[in-house]
Amino acid sequence: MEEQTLIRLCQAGDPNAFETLLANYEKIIYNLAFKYFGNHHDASDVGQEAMVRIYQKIKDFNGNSSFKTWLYRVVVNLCMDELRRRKNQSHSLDELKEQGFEPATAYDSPEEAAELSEKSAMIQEILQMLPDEQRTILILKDIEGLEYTEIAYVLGCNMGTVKSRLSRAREAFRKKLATQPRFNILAEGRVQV
Amino acid sequence: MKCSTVYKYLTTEWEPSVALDEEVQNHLAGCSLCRAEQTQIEGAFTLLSSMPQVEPTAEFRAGWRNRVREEAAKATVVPEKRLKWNSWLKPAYSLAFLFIAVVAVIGYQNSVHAPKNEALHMAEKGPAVSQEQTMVLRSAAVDVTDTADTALYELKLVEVGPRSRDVQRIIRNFRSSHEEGIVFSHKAKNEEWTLFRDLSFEDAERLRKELEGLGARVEVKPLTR
Ligand SMILES: [Zn+2]
Repeated sequence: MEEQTLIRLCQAGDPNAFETLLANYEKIIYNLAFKYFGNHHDASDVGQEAMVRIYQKIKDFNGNSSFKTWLYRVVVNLCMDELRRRKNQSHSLDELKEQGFEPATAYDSPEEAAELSEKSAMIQEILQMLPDEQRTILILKDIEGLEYTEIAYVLGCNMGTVKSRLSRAREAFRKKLATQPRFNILAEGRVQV
Repeated sequence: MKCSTVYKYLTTEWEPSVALDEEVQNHLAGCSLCRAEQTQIEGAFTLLSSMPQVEPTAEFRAGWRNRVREEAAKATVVPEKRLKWNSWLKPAYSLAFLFIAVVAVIGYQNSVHAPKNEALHMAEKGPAVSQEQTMVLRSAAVDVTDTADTALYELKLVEVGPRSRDVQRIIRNFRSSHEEGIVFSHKAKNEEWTLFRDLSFEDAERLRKELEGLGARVEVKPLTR
């Protein structure tokens, strides 16, 4: 069935059509959440929440963007909300730490931890250090490879803002990268100007 | 061409897939500083763009489908068919968790000036220790603005009772309606905690009553910190 037909069925409230349609995007949605949170536990929780949100909101999709870009918009907003919500709770973290708790790396198994190569783990680590806004723009542009116009739609801002945010984010990323001793090793073999 | 112009071009316009502007190329040929900058920019970009995709977990694949079906059922007033321990259980634990789970909810209530909904809550889940039909729920409140005034209590679900699926559903709904938050692990204790917001003592009490209404056996006792 064509995507547009499926979308129309979803908008009429057909859950089977929704499952068929979103099965094509589940990996993208999961990976987007994974880039934000850096672990499977959160990617699964936020990803599931995103699916429910998409189900509730699909009626609002009006074809002004591609469906995929619209999905990015919903998922990115959800991830940003979640990050903000967590930030508001941060005053309790010290208390937890006093009790011996540490933020979970949340790899469910050694196999999962090993799934991320050293390189990915390092990128993920640096992304987690960046402000949410910068992390978002790097995920959308440099990792996911969206176009400037698509990013402007996802973030609800103009192209100028996208570009200036991107250059700030890239600079911040490079600064963090430069402090990683591992980067020099990883960079070897790459330099081929 | 000035170094600053080249830098701006490299950081805003250029991407490794884009051929370099000829003027910039000429500048780079004679300026080692900008060349070093370009190499670094390219390195960072290559790293980001080559980041591999991860495979979604089975928990996610099954979980979102279940949740969407539940949403659909809500809308059509058809009774819920599939009830699963999904989002709050890690796949490795889920089988065992059908028999036993440890959940703790900890929160604090602020006095006077802080709004009531600033209560923070944590839920704990740990791995199964036996196959008994037992589940422990602990609920506690901590006033972090005045630690001298700390109050903690434990809500323990001793027996799931005959309607374990409904009990599971109630607990899952409880967690989702109170927005499951950050996950913390305590390696020494082999426990995991999740932080919640907007949870009051009344909410925890309501949970107790709901569980008892399903025939579960619940014990509540105060704890000291
Ligand atoms: Zn120069």
